[in-house]
Amino acid sequence: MSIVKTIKLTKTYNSGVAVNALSDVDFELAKGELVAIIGDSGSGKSTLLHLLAGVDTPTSGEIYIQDKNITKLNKDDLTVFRRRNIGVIYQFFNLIPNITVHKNILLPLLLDNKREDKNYFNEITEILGIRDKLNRYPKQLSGGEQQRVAIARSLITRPAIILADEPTGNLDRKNSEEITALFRLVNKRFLSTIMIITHDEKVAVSCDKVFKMVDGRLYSLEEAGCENH
Amino acid sequence: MRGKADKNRINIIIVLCNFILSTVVVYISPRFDIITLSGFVVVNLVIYIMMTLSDRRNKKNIEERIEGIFKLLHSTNTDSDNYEVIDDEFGKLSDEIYKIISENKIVAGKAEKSREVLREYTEDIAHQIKTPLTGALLMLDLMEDDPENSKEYISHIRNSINRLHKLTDALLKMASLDSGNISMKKEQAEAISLLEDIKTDLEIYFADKEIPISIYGDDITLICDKQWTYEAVFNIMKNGIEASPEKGVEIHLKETNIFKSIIVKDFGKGLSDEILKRAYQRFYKENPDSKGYGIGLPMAKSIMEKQNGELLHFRDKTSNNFELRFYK
Repeated sequence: MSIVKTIKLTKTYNSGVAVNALSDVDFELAKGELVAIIGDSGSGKSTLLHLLAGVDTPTSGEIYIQDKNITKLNKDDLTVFRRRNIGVIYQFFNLIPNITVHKNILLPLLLDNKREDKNYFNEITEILGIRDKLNRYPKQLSGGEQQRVAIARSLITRPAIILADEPTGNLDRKNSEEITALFRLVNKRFLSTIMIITHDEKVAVSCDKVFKMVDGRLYSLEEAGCENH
Repeated sequence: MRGKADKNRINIIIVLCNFILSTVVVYISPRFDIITLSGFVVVNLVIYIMMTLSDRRNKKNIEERIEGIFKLLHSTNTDSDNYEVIDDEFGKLSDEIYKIISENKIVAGKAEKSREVLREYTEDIAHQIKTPLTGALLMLDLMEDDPENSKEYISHIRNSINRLHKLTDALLKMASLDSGNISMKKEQAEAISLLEDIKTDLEIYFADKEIPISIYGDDITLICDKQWTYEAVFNIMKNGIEASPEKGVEIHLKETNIFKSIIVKDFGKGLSDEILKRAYQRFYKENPDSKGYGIGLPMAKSIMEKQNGELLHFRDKTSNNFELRFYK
């Protein structure tokens, strides 16, 4: 059973001239996989992420997340579904500046009126190395630390899949290497399914599988750099 | 049904309070007459009936939802078509159940697969044992026919038995790793001194050859099980040297905030993806003439995974890298 599956996913933007941002993308992700999608800007990789995250709707084709066809859901249902099943990590962290790190991590739970699982919270923050920064505000943290908080926030709901949009795009070499290693660690420890969108080859080769996006089409790269069978 | 009785009592109390309070109002009010009073009675009755009805409806609703959750719990397939997102407590619960059901399905699939793997291992082990045994039997036959050369045959038999002996050792190690009842110790080990030990032993292993091994990077202190880690690094380095006997291997030590690594770089032609995938299978030998059993790489991998680490492989233009990564 696959966690994510798309069938002939197509997205066309039509502003005067029709542009195919995605054409017939068939993509499948099994539980516990760590994959990267690499491609130049404008190749359609962000469009794919937005469709999977349910913030945009496809022109045609279907998306199944945990065997649920999310293209059939209406907007409100999709919002709820996204909140419970999909974790998203952004390039610019998107943390709320005027609440503490602790509250930022718990935010997705608060939105769903759920109580936190203390043990799980402690485990996450321990692994991500932000235990001692819980009472600070996002502004007081470095970029790498903010991204760790964002990873913790995406994990707290135990989502079916974590989507990361250029998670290292705003970080220097050293921090980006650390965040990439953390994705591996999280993938191993919590058996999370993670999809990373990136244009950085170094980030991509540290994933188990690499796909390449070219002009809205998705190709599987046989020559994956870093293997761990 | 205590709950139901309780609820009814609460309803009655509310209505009574309402009634008494209204009577007080009527009493204070100068416009007190029988019509006002009966009006209040009617209003209160209506309120009572409405509350009871809505209670009943709520209860029925909750029962239905619980029924649905039960069905979901007992179902093996999470039916996609009947799926709806509901933004309330029950919706949260059923979404969580969906997640767990699909996880369990994956676990079940894995169990099925590991049975298959076990069968393959057994076949492979049998094959590994059979080859030296057949050899020894053949030698015995020859010895009977040709007693004059028995010395030579005996030495062949000895080789076969030695091979079986070593194979048993390797199998026992692998089995103790698999069984999961050995726990990895958490010892402090200086990487460079560990590597120096391995280097010395490798020189003995490859007795006839001079092997270049160079170490780069600052020394790191690993928290690991020394003996098993030794085993893993030894196997990886041995493979590396076999792959590039002339240039030998380079060892790079690396430390970040998240992990510490020993990277073993060799300059052999490298493994293709296809071979690499199989190299992690036990008893797979890329080179059939190699004197190993095809157990080193899979063993190194499980050793690393047992102690909060990973064995990673990546290739660049001129070299082949195995990274033994220890997470902090």
